[in-house]
Amino acid sequence: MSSRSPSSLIARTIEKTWSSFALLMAAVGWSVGAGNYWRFSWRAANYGGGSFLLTYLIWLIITAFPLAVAEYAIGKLGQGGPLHGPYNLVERSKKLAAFGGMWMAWADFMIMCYYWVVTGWIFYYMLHAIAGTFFAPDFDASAFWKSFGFTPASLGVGALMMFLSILVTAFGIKGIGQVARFMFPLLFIFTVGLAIFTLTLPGAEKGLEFYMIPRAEALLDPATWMQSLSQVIWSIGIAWGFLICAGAWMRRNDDPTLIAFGNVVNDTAVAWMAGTAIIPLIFAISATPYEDIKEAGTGLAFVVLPQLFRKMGAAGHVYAALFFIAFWFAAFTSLITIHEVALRPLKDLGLKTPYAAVITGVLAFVCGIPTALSGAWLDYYDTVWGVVGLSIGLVFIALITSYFTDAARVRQGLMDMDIKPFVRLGKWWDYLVKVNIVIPILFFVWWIVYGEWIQGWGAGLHTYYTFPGMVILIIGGIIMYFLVSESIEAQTRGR
Amino acid sequence: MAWVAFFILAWLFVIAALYTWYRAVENEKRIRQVEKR
Repeated sequence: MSSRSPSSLIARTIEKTWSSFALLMAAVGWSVGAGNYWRFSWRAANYGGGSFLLTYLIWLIITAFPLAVAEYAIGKLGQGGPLHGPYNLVERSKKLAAFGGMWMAWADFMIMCYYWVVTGWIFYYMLHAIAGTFFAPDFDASAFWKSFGFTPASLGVGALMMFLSILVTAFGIKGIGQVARFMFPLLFIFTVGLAIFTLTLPGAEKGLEFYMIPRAEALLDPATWMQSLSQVIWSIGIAWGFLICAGAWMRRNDDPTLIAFGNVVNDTAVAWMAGTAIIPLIFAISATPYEDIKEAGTGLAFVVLPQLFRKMGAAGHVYAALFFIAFWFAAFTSLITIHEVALRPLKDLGLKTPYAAVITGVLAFVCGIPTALSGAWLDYYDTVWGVVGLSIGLVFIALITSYFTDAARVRQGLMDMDIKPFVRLGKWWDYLVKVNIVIPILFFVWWIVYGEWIQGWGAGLHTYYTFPGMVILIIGGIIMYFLVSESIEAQTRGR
Repeated sequence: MAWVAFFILAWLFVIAALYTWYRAVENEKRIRQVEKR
């Protein structure tokens, strides 16, 4: 199967104007989306503030950079998508490696089930930012959010997003990739501007302290570590299968270490700046910031951002409109890419693109309906697929590149370029990748044990509550395994 | 003062991000030079 599938929107964009910058922008465009604002501010404010940032930083070094390079390596050296890339790369346990790649596409699909909901929220806020609703004298941001989030209206707008995603992935719309490339730098600059503006507000320094000072008790809580690990991989987009596809599009001299470093620093810059804009603002405008953070829950960014624009005065209207247009584009292009990765295994199994796009799109919509109507369901899906599903994907990336094959061989393959690499990978990279075979498992066990046995059954995590979701995760994985085995065997026989 | 370190770090991420944009453009020039040879 050709790795440079012309049916992929992002691949087409890169091929047309193929350059390292286009590749970097496509990679960064994948990373930056709803996760940087919506999920980051929600998770960082609820899981320790400064402690969350400290653990986030540790995960960037130990996990994000080495494994982003490893995931690119699977595509670049294996010359294939989530199914064929791992299969071609490894020397032993080939079927299990292909299953690992399929697992990532499976987790990607399950996250798509609620990603369309969040994209719909952003679209709704974009329309209201353009209309100027946030600037009415009696506007109440919290009441506005409550009147929309998790209501049938939110389901309707989300359905429109899913419909658009099906259209784009099934038939393609020319030019969307080029617009997205120009939108990311715009969003980047707007976000930095928002952070600077928040810092000028009286009272913001208290919020900055909460957001940036690590506290020992939060560092001793495994939930902080697990949530920051999941946020790092969720936000940067590692273990979703996309980096494997992007690796397959790379030319021999495209440097995966530069692109992986670009993913990590661009995504973190936007997320930390979005946090700087959102979290200190709550302390600047509210007498009870901690209660407000708890009450807003998953909708934190949507309650806070309109208030930030209101503070800007007359310029706020234009700024809000431009910001939300760029933000929606970032989220929508991420939704399309998530959709493209989700339908890729079906294509690899022989289905035509439009059919695969409709099947995955309709299924993701139906499975995601509860998350459009209930915050508890969204949190539940996000914990099962976003935290557990992606963490298992991490273990697979590490296994594929350092256990099913020789990590040193993979590293040498990556360094085989005519230009000097941005980061020269040494043995340290092999060790870091190998460490990631066990790290997510250890932290997961610590999280469960601490949450259920030490804090008390049901008092902390409600892990029992996530068991049905995990059963679906595992059953889906087993079905995928058999599909993979059939497909790989059929293709091997056909050769 | 711990927050100051993180504050500076957040801005370092912004600078590093911009640096990767520059490096990507530079890399492309080098790739074209190498391919011409």
